[in-house]
Amino acid sequence: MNCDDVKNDLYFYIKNDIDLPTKKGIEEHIEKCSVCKELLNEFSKTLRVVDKCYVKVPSKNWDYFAEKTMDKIHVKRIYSFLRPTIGFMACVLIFAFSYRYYQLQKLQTITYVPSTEETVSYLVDFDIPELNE
Amino acid sequence: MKVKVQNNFEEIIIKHQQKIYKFIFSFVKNENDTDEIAQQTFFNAFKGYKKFRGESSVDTWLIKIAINNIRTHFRKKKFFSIFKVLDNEEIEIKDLKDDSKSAEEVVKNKMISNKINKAIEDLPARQKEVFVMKHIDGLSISEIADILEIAEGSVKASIFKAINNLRKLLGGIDEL
Ligand SMILES: [Zn+2]
Repeated sequence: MNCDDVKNDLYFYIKNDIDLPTKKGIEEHIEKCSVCKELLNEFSKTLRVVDKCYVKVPSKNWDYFAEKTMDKIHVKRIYSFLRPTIGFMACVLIFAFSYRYYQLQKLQTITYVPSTEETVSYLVDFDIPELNE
Repeated sequence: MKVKVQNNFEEIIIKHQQKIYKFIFSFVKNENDTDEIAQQTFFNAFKGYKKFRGESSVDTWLIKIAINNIRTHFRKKKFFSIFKVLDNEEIEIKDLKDDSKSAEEVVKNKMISNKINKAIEDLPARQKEVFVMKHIDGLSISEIADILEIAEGSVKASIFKAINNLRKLLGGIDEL
């Protein structure tokens, strides 16, 4: 075995998850190679540190969780059906409103309201009969 | 027919949810995120259920879907971390139900645990996936190769790289 072979099997050697001939091969190599020997020590130490950190998987009421998952699936399915429809409706609404706004703008420019002064002078021209008489 | 599919699928959830949940949690280490990813995984599976031909076992199929969702989760997390000034996310740590430990020690252990989890999380994606699947989930090399669709040799090489990087990242931590 060379260094590269040993490196890729170091983890399995540490975990004792290896066949006997490979295990013997590694041990023979390590006797001769100080680099791999040092690496084996370092790896064992690193794995010991990693193993000290243990985050507990939360305990759950699994029947309830399965039920909740099924509910979520239904909601997501309905939503995925509705999403294109909602999108389409939103587009139609936006179009309708902008069209209406455009029409209103147009209407305002057509029905030009004369300014107050003009209106007054225009109205003055009328002969309004006095009501008191 | 539809009802039958739903009943079958509910059975699948009941049968596989614990394993899938544990698998997702081993990466995410946060209950809320795990809930969400697990439910998303079963939703994706439900959508693809009719197409599932049984080329692989149901477990492997579900894990493949889960790993995709886990990747998406970490991509999102990475993206949003740009906007976070301080990452004060706390990981729940089993406080080693040991009354002999002082509060100081518990805090120290918690800090070390956070550092270890951060180191694993910061590994390159492939190394992290392979390392967690092997070391924490205890999957076999052939299962991992199957799930990630890579050669068994690559799995072993990734495990080596992962531990080698962890060794460098955790160099400062003394053994507890
Ligand atoms: Zn060597």
